[in-house]
Amino acid sequence: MPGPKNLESLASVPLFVEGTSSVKEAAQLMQQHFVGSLVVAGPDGEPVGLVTDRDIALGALMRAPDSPAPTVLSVASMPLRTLPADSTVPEATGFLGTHCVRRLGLTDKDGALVAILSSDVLLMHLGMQIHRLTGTISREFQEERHPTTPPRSRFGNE
Amino acid sequence: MLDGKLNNDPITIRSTASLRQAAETMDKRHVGSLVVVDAWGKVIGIVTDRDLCLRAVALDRDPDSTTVERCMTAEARTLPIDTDLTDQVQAMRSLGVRRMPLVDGEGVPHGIAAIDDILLWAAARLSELAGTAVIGRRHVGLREPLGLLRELEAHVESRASDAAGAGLGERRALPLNSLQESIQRLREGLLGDGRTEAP
Repeated sequence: MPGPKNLESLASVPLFVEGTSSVKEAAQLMQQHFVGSLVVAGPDGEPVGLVTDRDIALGALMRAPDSPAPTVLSVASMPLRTLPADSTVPEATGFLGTHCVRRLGLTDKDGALVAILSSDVLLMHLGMQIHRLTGTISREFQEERHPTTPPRSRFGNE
Repeated sequence: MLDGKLNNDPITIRSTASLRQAAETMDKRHVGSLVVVDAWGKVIGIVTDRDLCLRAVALDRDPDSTTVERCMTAEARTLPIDTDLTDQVQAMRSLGVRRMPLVDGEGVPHGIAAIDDILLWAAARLSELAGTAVIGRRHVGLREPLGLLRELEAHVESRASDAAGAGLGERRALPLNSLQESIQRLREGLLGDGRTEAP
C-alpha cells in the first residue's frame, strides 16, 4: 500500500502552551485554534509533554473543592512521545498502538519538534487508500461483467 | 452491507448532575462522552470531554454549582435501537458526528453507535480478510507461534542431550520427553487436520 511522501505532510504544526499557564488559558487557546491538544513547554521553552482537552476538563473539574485551578503542567501527559519525521506510516501506527496514545510528536534530524501527528489523520489516510483499492476491485468486477475491450489472446488474431 | 450490531451500553448522566459528577463519571468509566437524560430517562443531549473543556473550563464555570445541561450539546441526534451498522455509519457521516445514542420508541437510550467501536469492528474484518490475500501460504498466520515452538523444541533437545551426557539417567530424561511430546501436540493442534509444517 502506498504511503504519503512523508509523515509531516499528514501532521500539523505544533501549538505550544507554557506549563505554568492555567488550564483556563489552555482551554481558551484550544478554542481559538480549534485544536484538541497543545504541546506543553518547559522552563526553557522545550517541549516536555502534551495536554489534551480531556486532560484539561478532568483535571480542572475534579480538583478538590475550594482549591485553585491546576496549571497545565499538573494535568499534562509527560514526556511527549516522538518519532523521527522520516518514519513510515507502519512505524507511526505501530508506535501509537504500542503506547496507546492518539498523538505523537515528529522530530527533525536535530531532535527538534516539527509537527504533531494524530491517529485520526493516519486513519483518514489509510481509509483513502482502501477506498482507492476497492474502487479498483469494483472496476475490475464491472469490466468482467461488461467488458469494454475484447479479451486479448496470446495466440494472435483468431 | 455491514451486518450485526454493536451493542454498547450507553453511559448516561442526568442533566441536573454537576460538572464534577460528569468529569468523575468520564474518568471512572474511561469514556469521552455521556448521554444526557432527563428525569424520565429520555435522551436530551450529549456531553463530551471537549464540551467540558471549552464550555466549562474556558469560561471558568464552577464544577459543583454548574449543571451538565449548561455544557451539553442539546437535542442530541439519535437513531432507532434496531438501526444496522450500515445505516449507523451513513447517519454519522451525513451529520458529521462521532456518536449517536440508539433509542427506543420512548426516547430512552439502550445503546450507542460510536465511530471508534465501528472502526474496531471493521479493522477486525479487514484483518481476517488479510489472511486470504496471500495465495498458497495458508499457514502465514502461524509462523510466529510455530517459530517459537521450534526454538523451545531446540532448547529442550539441547537440555536432554546435556542430561544424557552428564549421565543423569531416566529421572531427568522423563520430564524432558514429556515436554517434547507436549510441544509436538501443540504443533499438531496449531496446524490441524494432520498437516505438517512447511519447510
